[in-house]
Amino acid sequence: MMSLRHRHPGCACVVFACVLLPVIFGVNPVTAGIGLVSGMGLLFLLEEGRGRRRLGWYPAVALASGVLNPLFNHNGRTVLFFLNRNPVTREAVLYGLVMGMLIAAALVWARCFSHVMDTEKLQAVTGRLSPKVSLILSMSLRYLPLFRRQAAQVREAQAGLGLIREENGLDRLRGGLRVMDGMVTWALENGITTADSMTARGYGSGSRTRYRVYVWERGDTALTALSLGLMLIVAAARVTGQIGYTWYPELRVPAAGFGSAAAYGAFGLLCLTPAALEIKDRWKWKVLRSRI
Amino acid sequence: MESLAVKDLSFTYAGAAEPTLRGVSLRLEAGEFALLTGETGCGKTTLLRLIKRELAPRGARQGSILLGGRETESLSDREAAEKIGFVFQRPEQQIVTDRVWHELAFGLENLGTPEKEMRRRVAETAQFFGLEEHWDVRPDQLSGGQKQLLNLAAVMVMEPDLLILDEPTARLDPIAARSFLSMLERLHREMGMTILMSEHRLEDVLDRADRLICMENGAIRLNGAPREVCARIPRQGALAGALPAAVRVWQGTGGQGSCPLNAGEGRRWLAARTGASKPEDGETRQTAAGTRNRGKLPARSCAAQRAEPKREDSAALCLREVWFRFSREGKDVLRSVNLTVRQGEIFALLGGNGSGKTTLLRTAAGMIPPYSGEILFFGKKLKDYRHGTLRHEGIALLPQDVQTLFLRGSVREELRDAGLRPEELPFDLSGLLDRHPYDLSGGEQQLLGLAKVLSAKPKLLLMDEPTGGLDAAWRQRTRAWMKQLQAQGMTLLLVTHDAEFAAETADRCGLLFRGRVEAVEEPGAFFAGASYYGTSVSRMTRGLLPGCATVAEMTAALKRQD
Repeated sequence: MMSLRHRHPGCACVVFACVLLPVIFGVNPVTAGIGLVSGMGLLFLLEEGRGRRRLGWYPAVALASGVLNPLFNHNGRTVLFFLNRNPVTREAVLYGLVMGMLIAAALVWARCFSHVMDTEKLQAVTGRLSPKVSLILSMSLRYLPLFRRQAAQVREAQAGLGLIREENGLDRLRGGLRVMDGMVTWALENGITTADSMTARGYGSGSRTRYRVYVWERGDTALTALSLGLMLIVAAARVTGQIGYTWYPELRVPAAGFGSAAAYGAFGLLCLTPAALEIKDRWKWKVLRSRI
Repeated sequence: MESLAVKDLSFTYAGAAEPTLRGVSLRLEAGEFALLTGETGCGKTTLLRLIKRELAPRGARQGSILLGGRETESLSDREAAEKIGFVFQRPEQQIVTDRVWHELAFGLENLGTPEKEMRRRVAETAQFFGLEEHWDVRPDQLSGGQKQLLNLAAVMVMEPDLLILDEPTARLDPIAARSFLSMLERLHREMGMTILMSEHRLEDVLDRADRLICMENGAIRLNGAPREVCARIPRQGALAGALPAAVRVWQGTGGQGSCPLNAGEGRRWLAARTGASKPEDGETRQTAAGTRNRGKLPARSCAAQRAEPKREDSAALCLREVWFRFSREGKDVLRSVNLTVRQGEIFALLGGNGSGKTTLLRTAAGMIPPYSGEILFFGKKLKDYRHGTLRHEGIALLPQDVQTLFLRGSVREELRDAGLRPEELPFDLSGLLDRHPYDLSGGEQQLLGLAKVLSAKPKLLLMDEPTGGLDAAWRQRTRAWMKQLQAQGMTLLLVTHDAEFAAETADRCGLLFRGRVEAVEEPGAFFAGASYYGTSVSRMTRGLLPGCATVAEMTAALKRQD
């Protein structure tokens, strides 16, 4: 099977959702920890140079949360010490740490998501939901750079006329406003040609179909099914209360048993799959190259 | 089989007193390639838009338009969209989506084409138009010519019965225009496409068409095979300016023999006329070299006829070893440019797309600083001028897209902004005062832009592609005001890919290639030496009639021979 970057964007979205949902819903140190560590592993593979060096920030977020939460949250029965006459409790410290891990895990996976999904893949997914939304997105993505370039040209042309003197802030502001004013006209005027071009090519003449760039393969079905299955195991354990932690007023850890072991095992497998696929993919290339 | 039939079509725009079209009738057989020509404002665009139902302007219409024997009014929305393809003038604005593949699929998506069919057609079209390598590219990264090809492909993917194009090459440089026209010719020859195209410059397209239709004041004046129509077009008049140089010379010298439609035919016609060894078909280049070596043709050169302007040799603008690049990692756009523009001359710098023409102008105007080299304006370094003084009675730049100069809702306000009074202008804008700048024609927009640029009373006027998109009459007017400004003592530097215009207007010409000025000469010598970037007259006369670059020079030289 190929790495997530080469899978169908819909499949990749399902995998990310399956990882993030158990992490976010339910403040659980085990799922948050697995999510954070595996996410950092995946990000290490996807990033290069500077990005890799930035990985250290994610655990720092978790620690910071562990320090900050007890300063504002005084719930919990086990008082460790008093700070400015406010109690600092063991429950609040632990809750802060787990909450921090949870946030860091969500951040790290979001970063991975942006590596795997570019705008075009995102459009393919949103287009699935609504062709109209996807067209609007596509048109805006086309229009923004066009607008920016034209604005730069207008600014230069006006400066060339000597009508914008960039000698003081007020002048510059006034010049900028004039340019914006002109740009609105330009956008409307050019919008007419674009609209003509759309109607000339039958826009609005009936129901639309969609050209799909990405083809759904059997591997996508397999990976989607696997991810959903593993996520359901975690969800089942969570619904039956086998992995539910109680934090206040006193920490209560659920009893370890078959259910929780299965859930954590499944979640670990789920979180490691993307990184494993990525490694396998690279290893395969290495082997292929050595044969050439 | 008849493809299109327009019968007695008249049209008056809503709110207008005069009709724009008066009793237009025309028929196109299936597989015909017809050209529609005429001066700006003669009703070409209105006619084309009326044929494409979705684009029909509002107003009162009489007469009928039949497509394949059926009234266009009776077509369903889907059929109307599918059967007539329409390509507009401006390449950039008709692109809708943000990827090349999506643009190709857009029309078919709108028609609700099943996915299997859509994939096949998009794949075929992308291959035919050579767009495979640009599949994932954003359209704003394509060149103007590639964009227009994409627009053509995006229309052809819908497999229309009739293809309409409204001046599709007006905004392209000559090389991109030729490759666009070659693609059209392929569609016509290989696919039997029925094509109706409006164009105000027929130089590279007339020989490819089956039919030439000339419009004047909303009515069709002439309609028939190009050679016959060319013979009937009056020599003086708005229509003649659109014709290829070969036709104009042929007309000007009395119209003997069969009318040549392109430079190649013109060359053979000239060889036959001057009695030199006639170049054989397909061996034109070889024999051309041969005739040049023999060189026993009339020695009188046209260049000698040019009046040598007398003026002191001081430089208005001097660039010395100027280097420029946009970013540190980027490649050099200007590579050691040396250029001297003398005071009071019109200097034309020619060059293809990407040769650095626009960058050179922006550098010379002090808008972007070079990283090495110096620029002298009347002997003083550009950076030693303070911003305000350089703009006032200094250097002005008329950009290629003059619309970037307009920020107001009417011509009157634009002029007031620039501190100008309409009656003080060297040209008449009084009839346009209440119009919106965007509603003016290309030539009128340029005059307004020029008025704004001249308000700072510059000594040096830089112009970027001043004839882009203008028809023959407006190019003539542009030439006239340039000469007028020159007579008032202004120095003009223009960059252009319009070789004909440069030959007719400039005192000296230069060739910019890959960021370097490669040759500077007077037009006669310059174009005599140029073969691919020459005017079509210089291509026709090379080796046969030395030193001619313009239609007037060639006609005069031939008349002297008789």
